[in-house]
Parts: sequence; C-alpha cells; structure tokens
Amino acid sequence: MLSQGPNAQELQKLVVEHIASILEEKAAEEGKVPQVARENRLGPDLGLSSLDLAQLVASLEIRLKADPFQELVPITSVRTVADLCAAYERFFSGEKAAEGPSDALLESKRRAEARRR
Amino acid sequence: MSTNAESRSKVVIVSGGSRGLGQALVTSCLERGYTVATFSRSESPFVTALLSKDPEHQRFLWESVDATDPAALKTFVNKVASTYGRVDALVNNAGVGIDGILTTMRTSQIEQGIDLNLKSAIYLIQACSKHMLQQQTGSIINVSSVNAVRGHSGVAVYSATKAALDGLTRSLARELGPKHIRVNSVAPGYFESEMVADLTPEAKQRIIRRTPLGRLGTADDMAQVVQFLLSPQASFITGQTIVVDGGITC
Repeated sequence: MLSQGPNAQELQKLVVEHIASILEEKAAEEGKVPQVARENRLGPDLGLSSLDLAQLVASLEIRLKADPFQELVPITSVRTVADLCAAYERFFSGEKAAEGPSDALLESKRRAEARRR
Repeated sequence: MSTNAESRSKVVIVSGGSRGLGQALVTSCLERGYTVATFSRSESPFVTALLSKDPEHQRFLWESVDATDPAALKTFVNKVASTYGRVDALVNNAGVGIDGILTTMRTSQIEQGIDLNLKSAIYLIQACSKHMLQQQTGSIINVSSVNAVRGHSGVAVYSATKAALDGLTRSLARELGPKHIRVNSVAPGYFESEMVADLTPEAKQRIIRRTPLGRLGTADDMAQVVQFLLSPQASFITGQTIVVDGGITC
C-alpha cells in the first residue's frame, strides 16, 4: 500500500527550499548563497557540513513527519540533492526496509574500523 | 541567576520529574518562569498537585511514559514541541540506582539500568536535538554522579552508565556546539534523597566527616547548579561535568 504523501515534484521543491533556508542562515555568517540544483553535491558544491545535513533532515522530518534514514536509506549514501529527494520518494512509495543488517550498520562498522586503522 | 523575564518563554523538558531530584528540578524551573514538561512511569502527589493548578497545561505538562521505549520518548518530545512551539532545554534526570556486586547481578537488572540511565538519555537527546537544531540554540544537561568520577564497590554498572553520560556530554558538546547547543553534566554527590535513605546514621556521619564542606547536599544544591547551566550566565560553558559534592571527591 502506498503512503499518503507529496509527489516527487513537491518533495524536490520542499527539499530545495529547506536547503536554501539553511544556506541563507550560513550566508549570514559566511556571506555567500549558492544556487541549489538536483545534481549539486551537498558538501563539496553547497558547503553543507554533516551537522547541517542533520539540521536539514530534522527540519524535513518535522515538516513531512517522515524519516527515511531511520531504517530505509543510510544517511551516508546521500551525496547529492537528488539522492536526498530520492530517499523521501522511496519513503513515500511505501517501500519497506530490507531484513538483516542494515546498510547503515555495515557502513558504520566500516567507518569505525577505518578509524582504528 | 536568571530572572523570570529572561526565562519566561523557555521550554524545559525534565525526565523523571515526579519525585526526588526531578521534583526539585521541576519546582525550581517553574519558580524561574520556565514552561516545564516532564514524564515518569506513574503520577505522584507532586504531579497531581501541579496538574490541578494548571489543568490547561499553560506552563506544566506531565505524561506517563516508559523511559525504556524510544518511540514513546520521541512521541513525548514531539508533543511538547507541538504544544509549546519549541524545546529550549532538556535535563536528563531520570535514572535508577543499580546496587550489587556485578559478579552476581542479574542480567535483567543490568539491562534495565543501562536502558533507564543511558539509553533513555540518548534517545531523548536525539529527539530534542532535532528541534534545537531548528532553533539554533539549546541547552542539554545530563545528571551524572560522583560514581562516574570515583570508583565505589557495589555500583559498577551504575558508575558505567553515569561515566557514559559524561562521555556523551563531551562528544555532543563538540558535535552540537556549532549550532549553539550546549551540553553539560551535573554530577551530584551524596545528598538527602532516597539514595541515602537506606544508609545507617553511622554511614551518613562517615560521609559528612569526609566531606570538606561538612554536610550532606540537598536536592536544592543540585537544582541551583542546573539552573545556572540553563541560564544565559552559562552561555560559554559546554562539554563540562560539574561535580556538586561538597568536595568529597577533591
């Protein structure tokens, strides 16, 4: 069964608006606001830190009552604006998370091992 | 100290605010003009009295919540945010004493202690930080213990949970600092509470003799430090554990 929720276009508009809002806040401190496009990489192109991404995802969760990153999509797989939009599209498509160790858990273990090395 | 005018609109969540130190924290926050939301498993006479004074939840909200249920904790935080429009501060006070020699301790007791003392604090911070990040400000205070600072026989698991809270405090202070969210710990020593109620008079006297300031603490002593950390006067303090023990660990 499909979840009731916004369509892909509405999601993209919302995601871009929320990114722009955070970029404007940062511009007050850093003085430049990049334009947001689907292909933009969140970090290298837009200058969002991991904490900015957390703020973005939290604001979208509050707005959409949706958190695709809890089970469905590992946050570490999100590189671009398009990836972010796709995560919310998957959530609202009603897709269920796969059984077994999640990608997020495996990714977390890989990062922890890399730190130990 | 902050004035009522400074703190009137601030919304503070105090976990486990129905009795003991939690009751003192709720009382002191209400006295300073904060709006207070708290939860516990069951309603206490203290909570009943506050609810009867404020049935519309203008400045006080209480709910029965199982602190070992992450979904219930998140639902509570979101209800507070939707009721009052924001979450300014969190005081992670809920916890349980875990006494006994580790070798013979039941697994269920260990699990329950970690769930209540540590995991509930982590999940509450996770839920509250989502709102604090939107506001770009916030204060989180974890109630730790002198047992996190000094070793004591018979409280190994309790010590582990409280020391873990202090580690959580330090790392989160770095993680959330860039968004102006402060995270600190308050580590109470021995104070007049259920924690020392079972001590013999001789044991209490021994503690008092070893305490440079020559007395047991009070819940108000702890609440005053929490109020300071919540206040604008502490706006440049984060990642710290403040031990409030009359000097017994110095």
